[in-house]
Amino acid sequence: MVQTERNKVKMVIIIKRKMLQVKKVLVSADGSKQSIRAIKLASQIAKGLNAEIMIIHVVELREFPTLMAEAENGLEEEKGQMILGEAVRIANFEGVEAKVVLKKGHIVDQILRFASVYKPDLIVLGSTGTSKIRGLLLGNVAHAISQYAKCTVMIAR
Amino acid sequence: MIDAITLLILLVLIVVASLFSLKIGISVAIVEIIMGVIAGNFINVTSSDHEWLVFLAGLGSVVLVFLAGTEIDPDAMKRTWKASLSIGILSFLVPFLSVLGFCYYILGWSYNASLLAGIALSTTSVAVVYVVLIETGSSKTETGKLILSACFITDLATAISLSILFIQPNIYMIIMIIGLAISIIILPSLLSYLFEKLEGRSGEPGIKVTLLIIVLLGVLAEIAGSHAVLPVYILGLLLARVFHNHKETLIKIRLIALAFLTPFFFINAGLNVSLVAVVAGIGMIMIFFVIKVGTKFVGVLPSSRKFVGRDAVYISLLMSTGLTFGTISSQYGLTAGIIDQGQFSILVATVILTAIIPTIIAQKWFRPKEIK
Repeated sequence: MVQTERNKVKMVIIIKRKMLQVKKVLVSADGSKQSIRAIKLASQIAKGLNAEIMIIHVVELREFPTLMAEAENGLEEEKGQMILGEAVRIANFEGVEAKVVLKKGHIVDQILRFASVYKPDLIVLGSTGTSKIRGLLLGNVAHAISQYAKCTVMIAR
Repeated sequence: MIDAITLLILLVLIVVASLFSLKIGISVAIVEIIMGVIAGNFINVTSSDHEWLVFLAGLGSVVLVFLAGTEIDPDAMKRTWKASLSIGILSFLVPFLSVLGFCYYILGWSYNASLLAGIALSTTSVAVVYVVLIETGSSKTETGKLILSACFITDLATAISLSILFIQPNIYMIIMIIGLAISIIILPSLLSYLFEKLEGRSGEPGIKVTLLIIVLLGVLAEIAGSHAVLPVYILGLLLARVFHNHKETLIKIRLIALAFLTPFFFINAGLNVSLVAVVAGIGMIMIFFVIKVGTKFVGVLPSSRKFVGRDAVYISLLMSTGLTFGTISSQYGLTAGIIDQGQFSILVATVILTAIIPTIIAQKWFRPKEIK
């Protein structure tokens, strides 16, 4: 019986070793302090494991708009490009070359959708990415992604 | 209340609504309506005391309809006209007839009030659908374009109904029809020529010409005893291609509308909502909501299955959404004396619910399979 328990422990160690075989890391950047921590953490992991790192920024659209034009805001896209530029600088500072992608839409949908194509081994997120009120209305991003993602999700605090 | 104080209060509410909507990421229109409800029910601001407010709100609604028309993709509409016509007409007709029958036979509303309720609750919010199509990566696909075209057809059916069903035939109606026919023939090429010459010039003559034509069509419709929504929406549809090549002018018109005109329209709609009537009619609001969403399903689901296949439930839910045209129709009904304040309050509350709840249900439980 004791032996079985020990075997179980060994199994856990094997799973952890598998986690070390991370080839692709996807990290979300939204300009918040938490997301900067997430980028640093993802960069360090990518560097340590010699993995590829992809930084995603999602330009969120206005929910329930009156006009199609109200939903999209060109300035948000520009801001998104700046956030990605800053994220790349952080990754470079940590010693890794990062690729970037900008998507539009609901942040959870877009990250999951991109992850289904990019197939990362690890997704790294900041603990909060949206306002508390918005989180209450539309759900917490980190929670939703950890629930639906098909790979390991790490949340930086 | 003195005009200047009322204006000051409304501008404060408009600014607060704008900032709050940015914070929570939802449409400023919904927040503006809510601000209007607060001002009307708790600060005792009424639009009936201020003609300028009613005028600005009316102009705001007309320009909003025009802008909605300019967002159509004429090429996609041409390519998908059979399917979009089928989905779009059923999406309008089934809820319209159902709500009409329910109001007239069950609730005992007058025939005209029932017609108006039918129109207000058969609309589809193109913009809400558009956002979801972008989110699902379908906005550029043929399916996405088909759905958007179908939504435009539904809105066109709303505009036609609103303009025709309540018209009081007179000689001016013929003038309006002639004016509209002339607009259809000459305006696209005329405005295209003018924009080429005038765009970017100081004094913005291109924008002034566009606003002049919008107001001219609105005046013709008013004299004809109709609503400006149809001629102005058609004008927007006609000029969609022109504005595609002159985006700068369109952006400026949109800025004027969204910063100065449409906030007064939505705040005014909120001012006219009686909270007492909403609370008392909560059951009726729920019934209206169920009828709208249920009948949209009946109308849209079969054709969506046929033309789109997968995710038909998702699309049907999206096409149950309504905001701009539903509010405009309700406001027209109240202003024209077709419905009373209680009926207006119930209809607007239902319209707001239909903008939010079907979208949330669709996103939470019926997302396209690959992202579940």
